[in-house]
Amino acid sequence: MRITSIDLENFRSHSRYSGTFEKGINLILGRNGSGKSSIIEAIGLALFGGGLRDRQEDAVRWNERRARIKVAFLADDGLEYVVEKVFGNASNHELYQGELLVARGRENVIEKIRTICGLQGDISRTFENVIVAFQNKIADQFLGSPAVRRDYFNRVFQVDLYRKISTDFMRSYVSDLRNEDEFLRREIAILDSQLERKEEVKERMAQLLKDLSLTKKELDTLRDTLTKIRSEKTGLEEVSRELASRKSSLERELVSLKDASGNLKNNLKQRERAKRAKEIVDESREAHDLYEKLLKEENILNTEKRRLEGLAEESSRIGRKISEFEIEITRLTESLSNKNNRLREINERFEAQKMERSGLIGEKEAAELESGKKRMAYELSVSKKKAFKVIYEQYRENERRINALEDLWASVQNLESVEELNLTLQKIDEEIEKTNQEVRILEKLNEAKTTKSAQKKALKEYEGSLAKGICPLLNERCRNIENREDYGGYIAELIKGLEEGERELLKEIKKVEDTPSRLNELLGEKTLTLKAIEERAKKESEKSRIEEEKSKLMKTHKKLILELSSISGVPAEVEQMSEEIEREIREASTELELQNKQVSSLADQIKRIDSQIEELIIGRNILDEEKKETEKAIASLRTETANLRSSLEEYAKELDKLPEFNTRIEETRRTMALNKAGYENYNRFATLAGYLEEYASLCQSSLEKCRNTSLSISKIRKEYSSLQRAFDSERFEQLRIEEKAVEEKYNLKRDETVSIGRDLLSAKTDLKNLADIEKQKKTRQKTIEKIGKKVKLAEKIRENLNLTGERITAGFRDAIERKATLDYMRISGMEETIRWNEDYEVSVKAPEYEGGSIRSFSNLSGGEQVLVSLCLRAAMTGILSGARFAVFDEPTSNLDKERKELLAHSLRELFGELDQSIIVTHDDVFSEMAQKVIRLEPAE
Amino acid sequence: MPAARHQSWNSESELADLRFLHCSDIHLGRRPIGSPNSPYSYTRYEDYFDAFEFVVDWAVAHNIDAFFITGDLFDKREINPDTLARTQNILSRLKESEIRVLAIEGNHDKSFNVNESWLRFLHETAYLELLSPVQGDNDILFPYVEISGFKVYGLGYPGFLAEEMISKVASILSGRNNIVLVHTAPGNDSFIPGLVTPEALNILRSKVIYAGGGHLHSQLAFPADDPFFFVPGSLEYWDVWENDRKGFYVFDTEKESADFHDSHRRERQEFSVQVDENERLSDFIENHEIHQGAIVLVTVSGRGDFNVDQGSLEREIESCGALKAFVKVRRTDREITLDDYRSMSARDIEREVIMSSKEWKEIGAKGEELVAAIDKMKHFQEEGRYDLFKDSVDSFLERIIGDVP
Repeated sequence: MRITSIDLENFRSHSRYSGTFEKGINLILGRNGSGKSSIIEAIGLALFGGGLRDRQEDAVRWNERRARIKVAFLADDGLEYVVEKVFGNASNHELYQGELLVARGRENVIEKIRTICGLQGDISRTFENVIVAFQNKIADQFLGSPAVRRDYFNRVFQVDLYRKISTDFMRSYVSDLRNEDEFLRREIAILDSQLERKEEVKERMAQLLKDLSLTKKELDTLRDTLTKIRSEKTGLEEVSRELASRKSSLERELVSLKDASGNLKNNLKQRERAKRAKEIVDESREAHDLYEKLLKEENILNTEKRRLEGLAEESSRIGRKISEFEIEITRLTESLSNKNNRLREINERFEAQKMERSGLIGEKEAAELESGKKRMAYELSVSKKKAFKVIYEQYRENERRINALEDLWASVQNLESVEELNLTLQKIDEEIEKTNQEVRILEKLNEAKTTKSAQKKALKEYEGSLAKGICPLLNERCRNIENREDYGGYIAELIKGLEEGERELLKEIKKVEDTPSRLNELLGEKTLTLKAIEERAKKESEKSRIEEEKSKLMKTHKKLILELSSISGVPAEVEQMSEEIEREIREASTELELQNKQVSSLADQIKRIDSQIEELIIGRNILDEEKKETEKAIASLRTETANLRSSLEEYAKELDKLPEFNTRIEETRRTMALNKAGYENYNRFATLAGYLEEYASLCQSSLEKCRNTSLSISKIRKEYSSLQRAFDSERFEQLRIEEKAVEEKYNLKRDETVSIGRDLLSAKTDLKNLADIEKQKKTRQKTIEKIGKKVKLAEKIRENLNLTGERITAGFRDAIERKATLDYMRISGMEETIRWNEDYEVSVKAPEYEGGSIRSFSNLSGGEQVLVSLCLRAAMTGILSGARFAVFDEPTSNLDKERKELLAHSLRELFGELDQSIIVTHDDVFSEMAQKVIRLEPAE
Repeated sequence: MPAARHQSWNSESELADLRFLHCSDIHLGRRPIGSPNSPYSYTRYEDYFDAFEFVVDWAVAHNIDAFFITGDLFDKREINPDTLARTQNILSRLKESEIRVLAIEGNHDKSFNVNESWLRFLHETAYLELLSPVQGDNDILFPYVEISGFKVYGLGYPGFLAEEMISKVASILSGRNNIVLVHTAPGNDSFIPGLVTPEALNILRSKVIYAGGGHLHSQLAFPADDPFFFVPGSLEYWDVWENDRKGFYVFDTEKESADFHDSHRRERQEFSVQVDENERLSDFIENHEIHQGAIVLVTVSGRGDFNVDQGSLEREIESCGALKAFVKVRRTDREITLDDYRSMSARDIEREVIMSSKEWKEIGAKGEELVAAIDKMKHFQEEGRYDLFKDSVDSFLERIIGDVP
């Protein structure tokens, strides 16, 4: 994995910080207090849940309430994840993959990161002990007592975990197994005590079986006896039932006979009545027929009367309708007359408007013509102005050019002449020559001074040895020097002479010491003078050109003035001409505007008249339409009225017949009244008379039924008597008593059988339970056997875990040692190997060809210790941390400059296999080696 | 071919027969080593487009209903205009034939910022439909697209969280008329990050009619005897040393059958040569027929100190018409060096110690089972969960002891 970016808010000294990281080596550079280590702490806290120096709450910036850390990292699956942690007075810990929230809460986030980064165990510990090497602790881990080292590295390698498993959970497990074993044995004892009852139960069961067999036999005997009694009793019961049945049939037949005789009486009565009704009907038949005929006639006459009365009503209605139509016709005729008048008025107004319009159009055409003329005059003025402007600009340009030439002429006149400049140059050259000589003198003086100083120094150096007779060159006694007396005084005098000479030289030097600067100034002046001469020569050659050009320009100038004058038409000053043209344009524009206004006013008037004419046309058309409709309505009403009048005449003819009809109706009614009584009698008795034959038939059938029923009753009586003789009631009662007694005995025996059966079942169940208990006992015995095996295995596992832990540690140490050795050899350039034994004691061994001596870690120099420690730490991180990511906090503490540089050059090799490493330091010796450098300033 | 299964009907919508094509790992825009203007680089750049075009034309000619791409359509998340334009051109053929295109992101073309995703751009411009999980108010949501009554879900490339995502989506699936697309495959994720265990995939078995995977460049159907999870492999060689089957699947929902078709790709010739100390391989060309335009791979194996001028042999082969030659030398008598050992991780060392321990073997514990048992012991001890520790150790011992007769 590698970190890609970090954002901090109110964390330690950082109020707001954002930074990005690259692959490879990243350097966080800054002085003390700039917040470098805080960045590492933030990474540890957010990603690994550890790495803080103190409490989490203390990491919130002073006077702030909450801190926020956001770290983005790239995992081995190629995806970018972001962790965000907030703490203080609000807390949150979240992990995102892109926009997806994959974990929330510290435990979940840390667990996910462990999976994503392929880390094992407690990753906060991995971060603190493997991934990060804090300042001043890089070498400290390898110092200290063996016990301290073992304790530390056992934790780092998680070896103590194996030991802990063995002494903690595995031991508890073994103890649990033993407890279970004991518990099972106790259970088996209890089961054994239960199994002692088995024989007793078996005996009881056998006895119950015998009793059951006996009881069953007795039950069978009683059952047979009961069956016999019941069959005899059943026979007698059947006879009794037959008697009852015959009795009820007899009763039914008697009731039936009674009903049949009642019906016969009724039917006879009805027959007599029907006979009498027939006689009456025969008498009234004639009166009935006549009455019916008259009734029909009356209906016909009434119908016709009603129709005529209807016609009379219709006639009066038609009369009213005709009056209404006539009134409407009168009204419509008046309306038509009004419309005609209005139409006439409209036509007159239309003609008047048309005439007015023609007049206005003529005026407008004249005004437009005039407007055209004004426009042409205006455009002419504008074009004059344009032409004037062009010429005017040329005039101005010409004028400017002339002025420039005149200025140039003046400047040329003011320049120094060439002869004057040459004179100045000559003087400067003489001065330079003089100064050069002085500079040479100064150099000689300085040389002399140096020589004297050297001589003096040499004399002083050798003063001591010469005084002792020792040659300063050969560093041994010299006879020449020894033979000389007072060499010391001689030397002192020489020195004194040299010093005087030096003083003289200094005085001379002071006189000429500023000549070099003066020489430089003179050289500068000379350069300027040469330039001026060159310029002057150029200007001279330009003079004639200026004069020629000026003359040409003057000619052009005059020509332009004439052109301007011809355009403006006024021979005056150019400015006045321009003003005259402007005035012309203004006047032409004003006139044009006025003319245009007049045209537009006439157009408006014409438009207004047009709209009025249009309204008149519309009004006229509407009136024409209305007039046509009114005429149509009048015609239609007249036609209607005529039709109605003809209908009225027809109805009057029909109504003349009405009185005749009334007379005929009266006569018919009188005749009907005379025959009404006979008609009513006929109607009243006709129905009854019709039923005479039917009643006669009913009488006959009732009589027959009565006879049949009597015969049936006689038969039943005979059957009943014979059955009564066949039934023995005493025997029946006896059988009933016997049956009851046998039943009681049977039931008692049966209950006894059931009870024995239940006891037997209970015994069987007991036996089955005992069999189960035996099974349970066997199972427990097997379990005990298994537990015994498990205990043995578990004890072995405990031993193996301890061994495994130690071997794994040895494997780690070995791998780390080898890798660290390779790196150390490469960096130091020496063929020494790093040794790391089971007490985690580090030493360095020289190669065999150099004696193979071993130096312990404490005997290494400070720089060597750091280098060896870094090699070991780098190896540890590469092997132990699946994250392939390392942090070093101030690794250069206690290193001299040479070691620091050596370390800086070796960084890539040390951390080359890691995806990313971050180095926090105030030392910029690593800057060149880092892929990224982050510089921090101390917080305010 | 598995027997036809009973097809259940979804009461909410009517099912129709669906025939779709499934391909993956197309890697458009990939350029191999060397200068972009070299013939090899240019030709291989074209090869990926040719392979994709072949599959698209096949889909159009055979009237496929839908076209699924399970990740790595592009080789990188940043692509050049030519790659984009040509992709649009090819995808437009599917659009014109009214074949729906559904795609998910892979590890190569997954963008860290949704506004910079070229797949999202193709989705917005209606060349394809991009499926991916989204963050809801309380949990991750899995939007789906319905085709002929089948719901199609896309999980994209979840990386190390693939097993968790598969479990989450399985929990919301109902019925069996579902299709899940995810850029992963069964395997060991310490070898290739982003793979998942077979157990994690099996959760989907009863909940999908088809699951489409990717990420691996070789064809695979899981499980082998009755597959429901299909990885078609890449269409072209991403690494020229890949030599397994590559192509695309065509699945018919009515028959529930998945037919594999080989992709159309650059010809690849692979040779293996054994040499001794004096061998110079001077007659290699005479003894082997080199095909025009092929990529030729030669593995030279031997013992002792033999010399092979790889560069010279490669040039010789290319002069015979090969597009490109790669020669690899393998010394069979070399011991594992310190470098190899140094590359072992802590985990590797731990496993090595455990699996080679005779004490463990003596009690009948060995192999991966033993490693897993110890891992669990460590985990539960650290978590302080004695109850789980006890169950785990008990099961472990039960397996060693077996049944007591």
